[in-house]
Amino acid sequence: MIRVLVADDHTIVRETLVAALDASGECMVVGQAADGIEAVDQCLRLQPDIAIVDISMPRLNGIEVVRRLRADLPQMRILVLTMHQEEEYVLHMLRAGAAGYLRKDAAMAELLEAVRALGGGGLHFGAHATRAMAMQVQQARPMPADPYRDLSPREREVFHLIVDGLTTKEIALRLDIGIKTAENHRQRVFAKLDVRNAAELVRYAARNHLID
Amino acid sequence: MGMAADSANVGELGRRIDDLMRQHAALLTQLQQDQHRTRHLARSVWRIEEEARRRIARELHDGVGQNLVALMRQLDVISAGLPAAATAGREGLLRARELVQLTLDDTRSLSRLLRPQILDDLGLESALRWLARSIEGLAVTLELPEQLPEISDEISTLIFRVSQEALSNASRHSGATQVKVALNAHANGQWIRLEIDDNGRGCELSQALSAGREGHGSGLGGMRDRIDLFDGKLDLQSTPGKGFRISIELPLRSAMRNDP
Repeated sequence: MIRVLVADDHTIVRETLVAALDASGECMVVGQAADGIEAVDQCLRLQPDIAIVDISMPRLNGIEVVRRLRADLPQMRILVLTMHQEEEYVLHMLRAGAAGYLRKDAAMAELLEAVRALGGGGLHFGAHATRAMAMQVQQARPMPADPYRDLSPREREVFHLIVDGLTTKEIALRLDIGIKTAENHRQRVFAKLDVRNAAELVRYAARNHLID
Repeated sequence: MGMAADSANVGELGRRIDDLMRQHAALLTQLQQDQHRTRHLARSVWRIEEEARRRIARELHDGVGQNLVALMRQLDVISAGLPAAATAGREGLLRARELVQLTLDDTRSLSRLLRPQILDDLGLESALRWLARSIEGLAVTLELPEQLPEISDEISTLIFRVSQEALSNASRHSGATQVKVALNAHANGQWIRLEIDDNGRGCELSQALSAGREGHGSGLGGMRDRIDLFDGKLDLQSTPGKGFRISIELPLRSAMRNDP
């Protein structure tokens, strides 16, 4: 049986969804979360096959939830179930790593189809999401650049040393540069990759397969 | 004797002029303070209005809208539980579901009309892309820099509202078919410039500025007032028959930002 976690801050929506999923006999709801932080914690603890995640949630929004879960539980599939149908939301979630995207008013039959698809390791996108992706391809808007490729050779060296767990002082020693220079490199790497600390940098590296 | 009287008069006159100058200076200060206060108040009013729109929009979308979604899910569950022979019952539930769907779509449109959530959730760039796509009958090209500077919520809202107003004018009144919206930062990221060009009929500027004034502060006149409040500049260019061009510039760090 497919093990599912449901994260939605709207109690009635969450409970009716849980009841409908349980009643289907195709999956089992193993956990529920009412905000983004709880969603991440519950997923880490329960390790479901699929997390069904809303976008607008208190404490941590769905986009950030998907990013974190993709980094920490790469084998788990994430289905976004949301009120939002605009192209931009779809693309944001897709880039964050969602394996499926449905509007909340999707018929139960389609929702179950998505659960089956993701449960089997596949993908499922509703009509709106599919159209959004088609528009993206046809308009050929540039996908966001790969920030790692924008790092200078020196910054890449610093990047990998941080990933290896070296402190700024150790990096300065290793590369035979001043501590201040090493710190500048470090700050620039953080800024270019849009991360705040070494832990996030390591997650970035893992997500982008930049670690051996 | 006459000389002494004259110099006494001159002295008196001097004192009076000094007095008048002092009064003038005091009045000027008072006026400036009042103006400052009025601007501050007007900004607060605008901020509160946007905040109210944000709240009602969210309540409609996430409150009413989600209840409707839960209702649809309930109908699905009831329908799935009906015996196979209950076709009439299933038909009735399907029609009920359709009605809920229509109500949900209306609720969504109403919410977006008040304030699109995308602006708060995904930021100005996504909101502008969505806006550019959502205006019917108008081909909108969007030119955005690769990296927008950090823009406060208020300025983002203002840029979005000006774009919305301009695109809506272009689509409703100007007969334009193409519009270009360009946003870029300049002066070391201290200012942001928004330019909107259409290929419509154009119009007399004085007419354009007074239109919409009497209403609810929308229209170009209202736009100018708002931009003024944020120490920005508005430049309009139009020749009848040759399109319309709106250009606004806004300081990213307003001098009034830290007012009490």
